Amino acid sequence: MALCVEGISHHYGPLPVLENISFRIEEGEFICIIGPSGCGKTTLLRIIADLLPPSGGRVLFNGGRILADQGDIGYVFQENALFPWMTAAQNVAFHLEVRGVEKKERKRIVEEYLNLVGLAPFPDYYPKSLSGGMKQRLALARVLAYQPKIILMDEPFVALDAQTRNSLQEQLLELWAREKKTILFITHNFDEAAFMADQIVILTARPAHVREIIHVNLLRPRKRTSPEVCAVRDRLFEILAEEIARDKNGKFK
Amino acid sequence: MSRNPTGSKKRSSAIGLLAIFGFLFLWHLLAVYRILEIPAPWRTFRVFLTLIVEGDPVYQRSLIQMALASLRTVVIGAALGFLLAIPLGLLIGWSRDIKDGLNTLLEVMRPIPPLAWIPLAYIIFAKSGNTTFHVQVFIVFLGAFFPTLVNTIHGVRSIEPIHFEAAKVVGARRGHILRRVVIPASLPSIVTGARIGLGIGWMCIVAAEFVGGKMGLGFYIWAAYSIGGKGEEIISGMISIGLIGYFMDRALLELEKRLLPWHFA
Repeated sequence: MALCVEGISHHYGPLPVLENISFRIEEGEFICIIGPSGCGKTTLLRIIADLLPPSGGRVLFNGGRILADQGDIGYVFQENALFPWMTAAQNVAFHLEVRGVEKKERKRIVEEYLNLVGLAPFPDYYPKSLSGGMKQRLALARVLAYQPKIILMDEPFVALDAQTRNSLQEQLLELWAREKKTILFITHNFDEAAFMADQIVILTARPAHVREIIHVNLLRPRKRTSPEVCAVRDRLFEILAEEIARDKNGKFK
Repeated sequence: MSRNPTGSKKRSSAIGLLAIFGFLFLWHLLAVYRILEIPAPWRTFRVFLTLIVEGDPVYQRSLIQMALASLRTVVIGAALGFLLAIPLGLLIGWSRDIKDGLNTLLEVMRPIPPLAWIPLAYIIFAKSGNTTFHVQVFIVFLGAFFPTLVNTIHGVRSIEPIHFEAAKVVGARRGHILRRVVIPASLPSIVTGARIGLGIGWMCIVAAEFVGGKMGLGFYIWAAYSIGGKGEEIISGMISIGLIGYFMDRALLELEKRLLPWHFA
């Protein structure tokens, strides 16, 4: 089981955003896609999720198309995509409802996953009365609960403070290890990528192409401050600094 | 914003009381010194209470009966307006093609005041058997229809695209998206539209009752004027209109809070 991104290109009108992007994810891998802000990472993720048809190239999932209505995809959005009119429990249940999970079973799964992300005491809270970190944990529970084959995450922790972000990164890694999910995680934060990923796909400034793919073969659980993690981090930092400089020199943003 | 909400609430209700008494005092002065040819407040209130309890001897009807007649027409007309405007608004809001197609027609119809429809409505319903009632329901319907429609369309249009995507990405079908995303997400706007619509419907009925019929607050006010400019009776009718409009709006507001806890909590 694998996800193959093959020669994806995209342009918005005359503006080229993605150029010939290819990489491959094996089942159970944690992949980070990193690149300068505004380079088209979200566009790439939307193409993979079948929310946006690419101008060129294709995405193969186990040799076929990725199918939203088969429950293939879990997507955690950058902004808060929770439904404000549903309680925490209803938000988690929605995806199961779409999947046609029977009511009793739904209730059991909702409880299980709220519990898993530490939101068991808050099933009847509406999103607006949850904190930023709790909201993202709820978004995570919502996605994990219906067992998608691959989870796409678009900078899910970008709006959180450093402390909450670190703690959620660790929780996500725990859940990932427990549930053996394939995760594709977008970030522009090199600490985050170095700490979490098996494989890091580095994109260039716009129009983005793959600059380099780094395999991070470090034991888990990792320590943020270990020399090995820091070495990866420094490498990412160097490359990204170059890309950002190129972006500034090359054109207006 | 006040730093002390309790204090602020006290202050605003003090101002509210002061405003009412100030208004009554001004009315009193205008009446007593005959600056305007209107009855004084206390005489008006006495008539108002008599009209509620005993009714008007000329028509053998109490103010409450008159008000109920108006309310009945408004409830029927507004309900018909909501029933048509909400589904239509959801449809128009959801489909760009339908919106573009119907836009001109609706935008030309919308500025025509419901009251301008009265003469045509009398022609349309001339042979309906209960012409005046049908005309009045129709006028209220028009008054309630457009604000509800416009707000429903606006509600659907302002749904965050991300909420559609969050539903689509898990494979939700159209029916599911309609029931679980489109309707709940636009409900606050729909309810606002319905509140405005009911308010306008209430204004329309009074005017429509001027023109025809033998019941209702509008009829009563106009009749009280026609048979001799009975100021106390006219003002009593006006007060009833104001109070009922106020309480209807409050009731809908309460309903809104119950119905949409996530919007207010």
